[in-house]
Amino acid sequence: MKRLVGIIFLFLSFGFLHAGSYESPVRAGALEALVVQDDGRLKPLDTFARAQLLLYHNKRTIEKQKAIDWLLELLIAPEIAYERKLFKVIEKEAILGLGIGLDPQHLYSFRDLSRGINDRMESLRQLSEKEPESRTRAEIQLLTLYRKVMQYLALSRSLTALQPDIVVNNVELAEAIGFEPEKGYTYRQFLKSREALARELGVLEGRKAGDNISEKESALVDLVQQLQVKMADQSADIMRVVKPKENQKEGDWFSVWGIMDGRNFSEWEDARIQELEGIVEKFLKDPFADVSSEVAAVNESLNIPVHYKAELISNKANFFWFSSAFYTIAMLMLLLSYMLNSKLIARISLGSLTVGIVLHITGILFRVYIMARPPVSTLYESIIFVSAILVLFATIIEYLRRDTLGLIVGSVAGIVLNFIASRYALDGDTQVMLVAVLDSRFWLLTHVQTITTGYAISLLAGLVAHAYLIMRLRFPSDRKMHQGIFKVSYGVCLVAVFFTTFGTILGGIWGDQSWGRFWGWDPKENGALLIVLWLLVLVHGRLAGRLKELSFSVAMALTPITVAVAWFGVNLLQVGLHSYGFDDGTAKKLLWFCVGEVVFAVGAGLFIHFRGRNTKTATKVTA
Amino acid sequence: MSTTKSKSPLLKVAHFLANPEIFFYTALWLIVLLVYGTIDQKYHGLYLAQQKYFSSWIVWGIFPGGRLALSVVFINLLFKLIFNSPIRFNRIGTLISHSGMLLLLLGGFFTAYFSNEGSIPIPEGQTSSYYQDYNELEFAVIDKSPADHDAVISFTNEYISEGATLSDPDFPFTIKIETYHRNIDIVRREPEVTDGFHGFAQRFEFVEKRLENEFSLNMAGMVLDIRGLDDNTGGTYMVFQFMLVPQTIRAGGKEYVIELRNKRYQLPFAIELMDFTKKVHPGTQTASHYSSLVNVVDGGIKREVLISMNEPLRNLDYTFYQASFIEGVEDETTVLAVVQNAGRNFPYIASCIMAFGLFIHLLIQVPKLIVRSKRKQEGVVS
Repeated sequence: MKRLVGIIFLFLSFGFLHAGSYESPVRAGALEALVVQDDGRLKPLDTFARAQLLLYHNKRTIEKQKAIDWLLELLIAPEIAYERKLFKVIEKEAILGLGIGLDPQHLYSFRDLSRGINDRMESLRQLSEKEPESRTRAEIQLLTLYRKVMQYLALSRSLTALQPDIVVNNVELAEAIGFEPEKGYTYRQFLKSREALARELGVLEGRKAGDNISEKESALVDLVQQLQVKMADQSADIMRVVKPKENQKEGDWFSVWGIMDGRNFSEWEDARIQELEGIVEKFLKDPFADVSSEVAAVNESLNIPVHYKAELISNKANFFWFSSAFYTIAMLMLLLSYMLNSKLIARISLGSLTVGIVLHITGILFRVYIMARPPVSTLYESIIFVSAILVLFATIIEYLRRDTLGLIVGSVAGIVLNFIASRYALDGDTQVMLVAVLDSRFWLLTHVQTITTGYAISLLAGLVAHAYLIMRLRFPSDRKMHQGIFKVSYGVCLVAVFFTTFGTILGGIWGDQSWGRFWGWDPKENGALLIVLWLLVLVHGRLAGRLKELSFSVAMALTPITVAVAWFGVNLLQVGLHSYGFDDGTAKKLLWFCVGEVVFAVGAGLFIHFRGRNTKTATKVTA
Repeated sequence: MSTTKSKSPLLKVAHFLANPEIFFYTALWLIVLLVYGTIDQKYHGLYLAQQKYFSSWIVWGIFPGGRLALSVVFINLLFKLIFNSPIRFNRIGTLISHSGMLLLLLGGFFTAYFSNEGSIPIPEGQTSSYYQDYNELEFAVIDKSPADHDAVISFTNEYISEGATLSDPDFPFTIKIETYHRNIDIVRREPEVTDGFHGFAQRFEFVEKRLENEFSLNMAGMVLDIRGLDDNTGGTYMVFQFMLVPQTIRAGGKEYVIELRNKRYQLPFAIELMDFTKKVHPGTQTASHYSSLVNVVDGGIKREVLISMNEPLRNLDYTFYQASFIEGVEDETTVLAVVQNAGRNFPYIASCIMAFGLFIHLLIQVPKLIVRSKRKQEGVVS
């Protein structure tokens, strides 16, 4: 009971931290559910908005404003959105290159940036024509920023064809083309009656400058100018909201402007555009309007299943963030329980870890359901999956042993791996489509899931060995505890042997199925083999008496190096010499990780070994 | 297993060979090879690095290569299974998984020695009954005189080296390899030499080039000194890989063609390409799907098969994969990858056995190892 109260208390305190009170000038509400095509996949507008916001802001929410609200604001009230300090630009050279003063928080508004860009249009144009290889780092950054700003502008113009702000200010002209005077119409509506418009324009032909023109004709010129201003937005092609009638999954969807290329709309397209126009109109009248029935109507014309509702839940629930939060609580509670020597607090810690892993696995299951494919297909997914398997096994160990070993290992691993995954998630929507080669191959998929599980359990075995070394450093005389932990690491090692060996062989079978060779000494295969061999060396070294408890644990603690090399290092090898930026960073981090592990494991091993000797000699002397 | 003095020396050796320590050190060495060889792939290409570190008996002059190391593991494992495998309940899992491993290594041995792979290009409407190795070469002397077939004598890799002499009782001539390079550039001779030089050799010469990382891009070439030909035509000849104009020699009244080419393997049946189809992604040149409709011609029997990207043709020990294609003016040519492997099924059987054995071992061992810490007092560390 007390445990439950504790957990509820923690839950609430997190809720308070998260809540905020801020009035966004618009509220998108149900608009989030509108299905769009983006990156080859059908997804709710909410996911699209998050990915777009991430691109400019490096985060999926702006302070206190939801991504979807930001997107709506940008679409219907761009003047507000343009002033928001939204662009996160850390690259100083790019900002200085635009002649803008540096912001201490690296945040700039679209207005600031576009002013700088307008003043330097010519040099930016020259820069984009320059050979990509000969661009300097600063030039690349400047160009990237320029393109981002341009994309932002295009995004803001996505729905301008549906805004009723074109006015015919002459009664005669309005009647001639079948419109009401002094009333706002959309570009789409003019496009539909373009034949009448063309007829009127024909009259103007042959007129020379300086001829007297009638009021009607003047209004016509004015109207044409309004339409031309609108047409400048034609390149706003990012938001693909108009679905085709057939083949909605594989076929191309259109953006609103993409469909206004002068063709005659089909009945289907016209209906879709009008639905969207209705939504835009409603929001223009009331930025807090409830559009749930309209959005539902739009989504009704989907003829394939899109799990957008599940995706909205998954987006909102933020499962992985919350699981990390619970892992953090678990760790803090654990440390507290060590300090206060309280079993109760240790139990709260275990409860928190359990809640964390349940959320974590739920998040993965949601992704499996949304994408209708196995949990691991991308690097990001592999990290999230490894993290979940590791924490799951650690939790099981904790339930079996109840000595906080599983707690410390699980919480630390969960926090660190989820953090690494969150860095990888900064690339955009994490639920991406795969190249055809990777899709729908039974053996490849089986192989990937198995070997990834192998990575997780190898890491777990390595972490338990870390715990062993730390415990021997901290409590040198508690041999029974040491032996207990040692046995766990040995047991987990056996499980790891099973998954890595089996996963590696499955990889071979995939190779044999696809191109007739079981084993090709390919870097990725070799990476997997490296882990298998290392684990086999450990098991047989122990068997042969070459590795005693301490040396085994030192070697076991080095296992994460083999996993990291197979997991990340091999990718670096294949990227080639032209990689820079991000991958350069990965290589460095990997190197530091390896060095750190070696220093810790070998250092601890040597220290324990020589301390043991000294105490023995000391005992002898006293005897 | 108590060691008594009455043990025969032979048994002692056998027990030594069964020692897990052998595996321990060999596997450590394999790790060194694996890491070094994988990094080397970046600098010398997949094929060369594989040859040097993994498919070799000796590496760096005196150290065991991948093949030797794996053979040591094999012997160690074999002796372990025969001399050091007491049949006990808690050892049953390791016994099974080790047997699986032995089978896997055996399969690897079969693959290393009895498998070939290469490619077979077939133009539409034509039939082919041989395939060619990707990398291995052969020097072929073709006697064109028999009416119904060509009599071919070919010299494989082992015979081809600078200074070697190639001869055959059937030949009225001898061939000496003057120079041989695995990758060459062809440059024009200025001026031409006619005295003692024949054919292509009169106008061109070879310059040795650094090996390409992508090994199949290398073009080998050799300069030959041929003696014993008719009409004083003996002297220097030159041949290179992918040569378009055949070099011919005359001896004993017969005409021979000499060729340096990718090693050819005869198939016990023929493949006839009836139709090749290709689909591209809309608006691009990227192929989305391609397939070859072929006839497998075995004796008088024809069997129709469709080979596509993920649907290979398997016949006897051979597997044919849709690998590539060459676009011609009128006809298209399909390129099939061919793998002949008698040990193909070993990994499947071996992995099932290993997985089963490891699983049993886990079921027996792990519950003993991961136990509630309070109970650990009674536990005995093995």
